[in-house]
Amino acid sequence: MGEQIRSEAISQSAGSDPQKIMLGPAYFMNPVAETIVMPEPNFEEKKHLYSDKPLRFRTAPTIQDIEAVEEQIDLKDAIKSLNEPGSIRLADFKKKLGI
Amino acid sequence: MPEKEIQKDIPPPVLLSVIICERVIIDRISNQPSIIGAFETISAPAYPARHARLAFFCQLTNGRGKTKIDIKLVDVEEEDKLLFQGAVEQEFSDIRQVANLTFDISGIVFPHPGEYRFQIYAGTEFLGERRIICRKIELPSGDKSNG
Repeated sequence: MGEQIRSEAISQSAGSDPQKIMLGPAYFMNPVAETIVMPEPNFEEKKHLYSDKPLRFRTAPTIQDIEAVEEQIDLKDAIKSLNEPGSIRLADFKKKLGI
Repeated sequence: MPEKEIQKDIPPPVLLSVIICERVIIDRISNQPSIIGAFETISAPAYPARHARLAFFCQLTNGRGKTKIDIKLVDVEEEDKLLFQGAVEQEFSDIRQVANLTFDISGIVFPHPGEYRFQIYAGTEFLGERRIICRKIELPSGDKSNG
């Protein structure tokens, strides 16, 4: 076999055929030990191993989020249009109206 | 609108749950998954350590059509260096459908004690992640493994 496969995964979801995924040796190194089944330790015993990086989860945007983004886009367009030829600045417009 | 742009605008599925466990048994009659031995911590007397087998179980909904689901195992201490990657194509026939996905993974080698994360993606969209902690233990008998 040309490429040594050291790790493999089989995935399956309800209603679909199992799919076998073969994983190449990239990033895999020779192990010096096997893991051991042990009781799950208390959090205090292992908390030094955790990173401070918070877990991330994608949240679906709410209607309010989408509306806020749309308003931002509208505002950006409005500001951009002020710089176009023929546009009038708010201060000039107010002056014209006498307010 | 071109098909590619339409695809880009389709929101990715919603990740309902992620569980790392020893194995998932899918009942042949009912198709129900049973999660056996959920865990978060891996123990080994020395590193790099090989973990013989684990299962990654997740549930997704709000999917549309065929979606490529990727899972990645990354080393948090090494700036999310990729240790493992697997993919499966999931067909969602309805956005209300819940898809149960199981990845049965054998032979992962963890290079050192510390924190690793399983990350799940729908195409290029990040959906969520789950920690896995590797710790070094002292064996009283001096054995290097149970195998």
